[in-house]
Amino acid sequence: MISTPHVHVFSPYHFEIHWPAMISKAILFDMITCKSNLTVLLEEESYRLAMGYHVLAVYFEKPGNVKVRKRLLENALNASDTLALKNRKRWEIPVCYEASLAQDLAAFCRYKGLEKEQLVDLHTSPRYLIHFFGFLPGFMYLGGLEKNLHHPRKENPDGNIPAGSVAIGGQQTGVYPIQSPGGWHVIGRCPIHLIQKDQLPPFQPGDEIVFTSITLKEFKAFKDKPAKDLYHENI
Amino acid sequence: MKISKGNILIKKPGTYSSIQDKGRWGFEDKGIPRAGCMDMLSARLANLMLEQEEIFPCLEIYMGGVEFVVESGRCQVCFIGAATKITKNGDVFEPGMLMELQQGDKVEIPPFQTGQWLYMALRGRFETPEVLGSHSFFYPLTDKARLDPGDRLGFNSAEFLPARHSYLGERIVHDPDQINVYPGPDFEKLVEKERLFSDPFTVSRQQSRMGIMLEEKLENRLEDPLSSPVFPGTVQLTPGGKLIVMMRDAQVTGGYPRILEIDEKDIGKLAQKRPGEKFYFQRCSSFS
Repeated sequence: MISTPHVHVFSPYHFEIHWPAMISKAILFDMITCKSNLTVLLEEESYRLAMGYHVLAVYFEKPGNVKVRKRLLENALNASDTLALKNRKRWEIPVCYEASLAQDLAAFCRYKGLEKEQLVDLHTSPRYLIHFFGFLPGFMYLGGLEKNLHHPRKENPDGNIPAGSVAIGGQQTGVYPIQSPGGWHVIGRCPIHLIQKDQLPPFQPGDEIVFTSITLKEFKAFKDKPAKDLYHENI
Repeated sequence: MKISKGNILIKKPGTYSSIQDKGRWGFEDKGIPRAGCMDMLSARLANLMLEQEEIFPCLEIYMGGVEFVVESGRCQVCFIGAATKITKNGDVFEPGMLMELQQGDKVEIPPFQTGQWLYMALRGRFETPEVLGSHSFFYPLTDKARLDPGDRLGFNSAEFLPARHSYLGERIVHDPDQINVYPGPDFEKLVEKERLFSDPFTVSRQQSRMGIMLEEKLENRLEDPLSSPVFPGTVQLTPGGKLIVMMRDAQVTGGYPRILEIDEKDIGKLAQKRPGEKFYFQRCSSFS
């Protein structure tokens, strides 16, 4: 553990474990381990479990003995089940970087002084780490965007960003799983539906995402392929 | 138990009507909002009147202006929540009564007199699809977010309870202007802690199933924290000093300080307040 996490009790329903407030792979791995321990320890309970960058929250359906629950969370921190970290995968998500599918691609390149090929190189080279899901159903918070691509969010968000849009906002990049308003700069589009009815994204926090550049023709061929069939390997 | 099938045709869906139940549990880790009834207590009471202990899927109606007809079958229903004069073929029914409906019956729910959310529970089950353990409408998990004119709701009706079996009169809401809260994770960092409990707060027009913005502003010198989990009932403070109460369809993480947390039992009480109505946050006593 990189530094001591703490258990906080906010109400008879709501407990949290806080790590130091930073975006860090080591913290993420601690959280994943702890979360996996918790699901075993809380087997008998009805609860919700949610994650941010450094906060793991447990929200119980019914109030209960606060001391018992607090101790249970502390036990989850001290257990050392690392199995959850042994099943990590790296996924390849195809992205078509074409102006016809990405409304902000040209303006983004102009602003950054980049050729489209340079932008594609910079965006497809990192192995992005999935920290958690939030904002929209199936929206991944990814760590690892190249500094050269950091760009402030739009002052006036767009009303309708199409599903599959790959975008950059601040120090982050991500894929809009569904059509939504949003303030990020759209630079490409993924042909795969990351979420469809009860088909949730197959990716987990701790997994890695690599974007691969595809042509417009390939984009059409990829359509309707389920997310679980995307190329992936164990890491 | 005798079960018969039927369906309801929505003629006028009002501003925002949908099917809701207890909501989804356990899909936060894929970013799935919880959904569920805005006022869980009313939905639970409506089901209890029909001797159903679970919050089975209900028709949730926002502000009234709804009309539907029973196209086929028979069912027994109970309305609880906002106050309004519900009519069946022109005859008035108060909420809280058991109501029998059969083929050809027309039900009208005029604009509400007080409150914002009304629930119609059905003895048996609505046949809307279950997605990830819940019937609650939430687009795009379900085909639609709300009901449109011409939509049909299928149902499986269970054996009727005896007529006049029971009746829930006017409900007394204790301390209607008091909303119980717990201090949230960022509460201690606030400049104006005391004002939260001394001043009244006002529900604004900016509200939806996702959240309710309050009118008053609070001084905010806090830096925005890293995105962290939020739940229905979490109160966030925006950089401009506005308070937003997260409601049932809220996203699962938020990037603003989380200053208060409304007690689950009082989320429905707040949901029933109309724009312009005032209330006080009441700090819950210690609970450990």
